[in-house]
This record gives sequence, structure tokens and C-alpha cells, in this order.
Amino acid sequence: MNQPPLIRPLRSFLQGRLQFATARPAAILRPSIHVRGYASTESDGPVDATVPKAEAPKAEATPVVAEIPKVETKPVAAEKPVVSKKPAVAEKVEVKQQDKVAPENATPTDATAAPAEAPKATTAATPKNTKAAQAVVHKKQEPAVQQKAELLKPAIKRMPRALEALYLQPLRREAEFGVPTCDLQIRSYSLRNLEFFCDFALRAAYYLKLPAFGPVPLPKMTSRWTVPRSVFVHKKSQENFERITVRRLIQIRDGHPETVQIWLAFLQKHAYFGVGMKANIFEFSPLDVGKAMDESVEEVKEALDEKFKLLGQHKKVAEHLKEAEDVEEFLASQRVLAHNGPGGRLDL
Amino acid sequence: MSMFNRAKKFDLGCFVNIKTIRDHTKRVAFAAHEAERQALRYTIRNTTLPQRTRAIAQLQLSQMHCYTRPTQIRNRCIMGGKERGVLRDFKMTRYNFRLQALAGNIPGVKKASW
Repeated sequence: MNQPPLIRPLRSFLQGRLQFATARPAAILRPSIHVRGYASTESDGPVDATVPKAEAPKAEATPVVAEIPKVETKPVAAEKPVVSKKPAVAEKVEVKQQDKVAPENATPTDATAAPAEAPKATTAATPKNTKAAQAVVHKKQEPAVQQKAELLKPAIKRMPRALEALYLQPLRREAEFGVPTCDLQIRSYSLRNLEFFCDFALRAAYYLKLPAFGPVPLPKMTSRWTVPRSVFVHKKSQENFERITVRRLIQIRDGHPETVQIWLAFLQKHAYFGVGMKANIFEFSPLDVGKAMDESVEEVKEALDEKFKLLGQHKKVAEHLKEAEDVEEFLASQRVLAHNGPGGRLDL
Repeated sequence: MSMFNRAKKFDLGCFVNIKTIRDHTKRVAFAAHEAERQALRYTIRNTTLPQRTRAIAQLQLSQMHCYTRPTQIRNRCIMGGKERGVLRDFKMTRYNFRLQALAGNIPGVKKASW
């Protein structure tokens, strides 16, 4: 089933210049297809960790570099990636640079393993001994050559992992016991909003270390109304209208109640338009729960009262409503409106 | 008595009509006296109370102003003020609902076809 992508992909990714470090390298070669695989935290793509970001705009005049987001923060999802040796490319200078860098960085054993996984096949497979020898020789390279080599290479070969994760299915945490903690039901009249928000909720749960299950599609709720088309009489010709509410359920198991509250507050803060939510939270508590809950209500009472004041109205509406109006003045103004057009003034 | 003539606070957000104003007055009066009415009704229906008390409660309830009765309240259309053919979900008459729905002003409602 081809689902439309939830986010618009980066142009450099669509052009095939930016790659994934996923468990399915075949997917990378066809960037036109929306990849719905799973991000793997173990496989490591070629990352140029030593090239300073400041030199990136100088390196290439192409728009690719300009678009790559300069994200310095390390992605939260992935483990610390093993810094591997860069893949050997045809250019001589790069090979020399590589050899220079290799002994400085990770162990050579990892270096031999990593290039095998990299999508770009290594052209020259030099043995360890010659590398070491060359390293000694080329340690004192001219800085001009070194800089030139760095400029010729692309600044970033893969996206930061958190960005990468956006193009792939949301990661999930495992629940050890499977005890439900929170049932979040999300409802909307439109499906796209709902799907997007469910995705967002799952990703947020992952980053909060909450095992989230779902989104389970609950049955649609359909309301229908049949009304006559005409103002007066002609009952035989009518028109049908309907309103469909689509629902999804996201369940969190084995979650700490405070973490769940943080998650729900986060979702409320970044609520998507046209989407409604309700959550049932299950908690383990000692005896005398009622007493504890009564005490906690008093702390929250002020905040709740503020909200209850606006019951049935929007905050902006409440501010605009006038306290007392002269009835006759209002009716006089209404007479003009009624004369001009049908319907009244919706002072909402 | 003045509150039954017309409600003091005029806060109508819909189509304004003399009938709508009257309905609004009834709603306000009902809200103000609901507790009293409920107490009297309970007194009348409680069989363990003495008959005299119940009879007095009955009389008092019948003497209350008609605007305090919930049955006098009628849902009216917010667009036209009509009382007939009003849908509860939208507070509008059938025709007005149709006009608004076709214009796309009612969220989630669309022409049904199946």
C-alpha cells in the first residue's frame, strides 16, 4: 500500500546525493520511492567527521551543500557511531588523506569492516602494512594539499540520524511487561491530519523512552442528516449530508506516570489543528488514593478555574463579548442588517 | 417580576428577534430558579414526608412564574430565529444547515454518497 510521505523530502535526498545508513542499502539507490524501512543504529555510513563545517560553502558551488542543514547536535536515537575510516576513492590525494587520518581515528580493524557496508564500493583495498608505512611518510603533508583535498570532498555524506529518522517509520521502544499505562484516542474529521499527528505522537514517545503501541484504527463514526433542498414544501427532493469521524488509538505500556504526563502535555502543546484527543491513564497507587487526589486538586484548582471560566467559548471570544448592551441600540442596528441581507449577525 | 419581563443582561450571540429575546429570558429565569424548582419537586414526590408539606409544595410550584419552567424553553435557529425544523447538532434549521454545509462552513460535514 503506497502511503504518501508525511514530510517533504530534502532535494538533495531526492537527487540521490544524500544517503541513508539503513539496513536496506538497496533502497538508497532509488531515492524516488518513499523509503519506509527501519533505521538501524548499528550500521554506519561514511561520515566525514573531521571536515570543519565552515569550509562547506567553499567546497562546492552546487545547491546541494547549501541545503544540507548544519546540525551540530548528535542524534539522540542512535548510539554513538563508530568513527570509521573513510572509503577509498579513485583520487590519489584522497587516498593519502585517508591514510593520514586512519591512524589518528579508530582502530584499523573497524576500518576494514566498515567500508564493506558502505554503499560506495572501495576501489583500492590497500593492506594494513602499506597504509601504516604510508602514514608515516605522509604525516608531514603540505597544508595546502591537505586543504585542497578537504575542499574537494562533499561536506556531509549522510544526514544526521535524527533527520534520517524522520524519513523512516517511527522507532519503537520495547515493553518488558506489557502493562497498559495510557490509552490515547485521537479523533479527527480528516485522515491526513490524524495520520500526521499519530506519527508525531509515536516519535515523541520514542524520545521519551515510552513503549508506544499503535496507531490502532478504531471504527469510524458516521452521522447522517437528510434535509429538504427547498425552503418551503417539496419534501420529495432531499439531500444527504454526513460527518465521518476517524479515530486512532495509541497505547503506552510500562510507562512511568510522570513521563506519560509529560508526553501528553507535549502533545497538547503542539496539538495539530482539527485533531482532538482524549486519554485514559492507569496508575498504580497505594491505599488512600482518594485523599491524595483531593489534595492534589487544590494545587491545580487555580489553573482549572481559569479554564472553566471559558467553558463553551474560545478565549478570544470571551474577551470580545461586551458586558451590557443597550437593547434598543442593538435592535436598531440589527434592523439595518436585516433589511440589507438575510440572516443575522453571528457575534462569535 | 422585572426579570421575567426581559432579562437584564443582553448577551445573545445569534440572530436577534423578539422571540429569541423572550426565549433567552426564559432560559435565564429557569437557570436562576432551577434549584428552587427541584427542591419543590422533590418535596412533592417524597412519600415519606407529611401530606400537608407535600400539598404546600405543590401549590408553591404551581404559583411560580411560567418562565421558570424548563418546558417553555425552545431551541431556535441561530441564523433565522425559527423554532421549527431545528437540528440540535447545529442549532440551525434544515435549510440553513444545508446552505452552510454546502458553503463549507460546518467542519466535517460533506455531501453523503454511498
